[in-house]
Amino acid sequence: MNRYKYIKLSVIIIVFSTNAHSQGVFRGSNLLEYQLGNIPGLEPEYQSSLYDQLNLSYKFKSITLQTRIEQYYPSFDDNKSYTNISQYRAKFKTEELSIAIGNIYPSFGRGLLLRTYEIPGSIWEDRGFRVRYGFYKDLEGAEINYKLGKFKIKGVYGKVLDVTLPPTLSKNERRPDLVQGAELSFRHKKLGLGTIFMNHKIAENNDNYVSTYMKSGITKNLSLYTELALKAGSDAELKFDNDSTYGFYFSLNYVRKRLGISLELKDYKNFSIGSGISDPPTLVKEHSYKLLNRSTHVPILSNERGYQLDIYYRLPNNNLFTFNHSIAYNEISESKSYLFKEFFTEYQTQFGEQILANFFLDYSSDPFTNEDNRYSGGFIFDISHNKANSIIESQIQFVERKVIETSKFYNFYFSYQFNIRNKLTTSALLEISKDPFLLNENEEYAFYPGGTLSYRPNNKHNIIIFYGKRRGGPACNSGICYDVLDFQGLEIRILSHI
Amino acid sequence: MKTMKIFTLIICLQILNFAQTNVLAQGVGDSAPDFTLNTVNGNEFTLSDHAGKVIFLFFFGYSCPHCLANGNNTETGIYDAFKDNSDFVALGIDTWDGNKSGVENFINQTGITYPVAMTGSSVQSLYSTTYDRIIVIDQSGTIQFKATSNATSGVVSDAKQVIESLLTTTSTNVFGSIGQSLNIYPIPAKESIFIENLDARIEYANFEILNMSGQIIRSNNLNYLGSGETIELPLNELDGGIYILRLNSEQNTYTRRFIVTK
Repeated sequence: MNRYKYIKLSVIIIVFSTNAHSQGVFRGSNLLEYQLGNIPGLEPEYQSSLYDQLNLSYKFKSITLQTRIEQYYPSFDDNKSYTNISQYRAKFKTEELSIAIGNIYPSFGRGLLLRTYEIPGSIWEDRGFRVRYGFYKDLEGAEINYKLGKFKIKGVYGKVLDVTLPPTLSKNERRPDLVQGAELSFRHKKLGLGTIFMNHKIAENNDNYVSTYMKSGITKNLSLYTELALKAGSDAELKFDNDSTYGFYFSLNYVRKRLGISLELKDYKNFSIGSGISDPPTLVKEHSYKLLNRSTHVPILSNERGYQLDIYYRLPNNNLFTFNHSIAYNEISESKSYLFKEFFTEYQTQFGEQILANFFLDYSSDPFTNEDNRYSGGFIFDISHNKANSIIESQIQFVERKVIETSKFYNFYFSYQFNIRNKLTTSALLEISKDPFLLNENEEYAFYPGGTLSYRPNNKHNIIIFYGKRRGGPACNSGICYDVLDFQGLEIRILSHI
Repeated sequence: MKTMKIFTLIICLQILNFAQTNVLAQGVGDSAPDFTLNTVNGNEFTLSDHAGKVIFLFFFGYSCPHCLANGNNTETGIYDAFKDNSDFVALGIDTWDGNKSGVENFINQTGITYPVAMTGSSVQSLYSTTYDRIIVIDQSGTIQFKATSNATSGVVSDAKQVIESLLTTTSTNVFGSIGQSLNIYPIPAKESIFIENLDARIEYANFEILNMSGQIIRSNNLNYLGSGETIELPLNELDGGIYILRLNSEQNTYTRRFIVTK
């Protein structure tokens, strides 16, 4: 046990012990997931693993203490198992001042320079390491916020986690980025102004960045936000070409009665910072529909500019019309440039009192991934029964992809779900794909059947059992896109709240 | 109150029960683990077959967007510059284990013309790295550059400098026989590090201390280091961390990793 772990351990024990007679509030949650199976096609077909994440928090007046303990025990490789205190956090908060130390989730502005995050309930697993761990990108360090009238200042110092590297590696490997910065903001009525300075060190690179932003409620219905972030220093010039390092974001929102319109612009050049600590707005619709979500365009921060237009209009009787259009242009090199475009429309309507229906159509062109044409459509019917409801969902996507020759293929998704009083849910899933990237030799299509049973005995526990073959691939959640592994076998997940 | 005590106990038991299982990462100064992979063209690539050459590795995921964007940097920034040098070898490694069709799409999109290996996920683990990363191995089979961020044009430029520097160095070492004639102590080092020559006299010894990115922090030149002689290199200005000691001599190039604690 090294010195730092011993210190952390001691602090936690002392803190919890000394507060044993205080009247604070304990909270906790636990996520346990057992898998019996493997990535389809890999041997052995069935291998087991157990992952557990325990989160505990204690709050007493202005002080909150939190810790996370993660464990992973696979049957197939002892070197991949671990039990770690993966997070600890102490926070002191009053109306004017807040101080947090430990594993925290700070960000600057809209994330152009720094954004840390957690995808709750998600477990990360990489095909190379085959180690499972919580999906979060935190900063180990400290954050201080102080409010003084109309001014607010934030200071951040610490090392950011590279989520792609597992906890079986050393902390130095997993936290290569050192960030230290401050954000000063001012708010008067509906006008907000802010400026950020951030120093970033990785290996021997030591760079400074500055950013300035403005947010304003121009009228009762119209608001805007704009931010410009630049690399600063003697070698940085104030220019906006392909060789410069900057990020620009602008958004305009209009909401009136039943109508909402949002327009966003982006221009990111050489803005991939370190191991990926920056996470500017994507300006691409993150769909809840499975097939569309898998095709989400991921911004290329080294060179991307574009816009997104989003419109919705609420009609009477639960009817809602949505339209989304986005464009992204990438100049990867002098000879390689790509234009991504997407048009999406969705209509939600009510049939009688029992059926809520959603229909969607989508067209996108993504030459960056060689998918010149993607046509998608689908529906969801949510049917209410007596103390129960059924959800039927179906989607289909036709893709034209040109690698050397043009190939045309489809992806299909179907699910049926039956819920009883929100206690018991059963669902059947089926995915079929003719995507050549997924097919083995002499295989005509990939087939992913599966079933899920979910039981919630009370408000504190939920048991979810999956059996079958699950399609992985790209997935996007809260603006974060990542790759999920395929899985075939049995999976049991138990969620508990204390 | 009872609940609180129970949870305090649970925490203590959990903490006392945990084990330190961290695997030592493969970093700059370590010997590059050997591997064999099949390339898209149906050939076999074995790392140790290329001992004596500078080897450039690009780890990517065949459908990873950042890798698709940065792959072209490796072609124009690295391969175009060194492909005519017979002491240079480049290999792309798909760590997402895509099928042939998927990897061909990656090659087509990025314009990579150097060999690309398939199903390389196990090699990613072997090198403790991730996708969209660059590693450079020197003639003696030692990792000399290991990127910790995406293969952007800036990272490619750093890797290029290391390759250039290595290609101007001649080494007669082979895999597995590096650094055996020197005794380096103490490890970890604090104020100074001592190098004792356990072998024959070394002519024109140039000692370099490099950081984990392969950049030279300091350099000392000696006309010679006699057999049994020891030299001291002060480490006052170095921060705590892992460093590389490199000895360039007329006869050989030795590399050894060491730790500085402050």
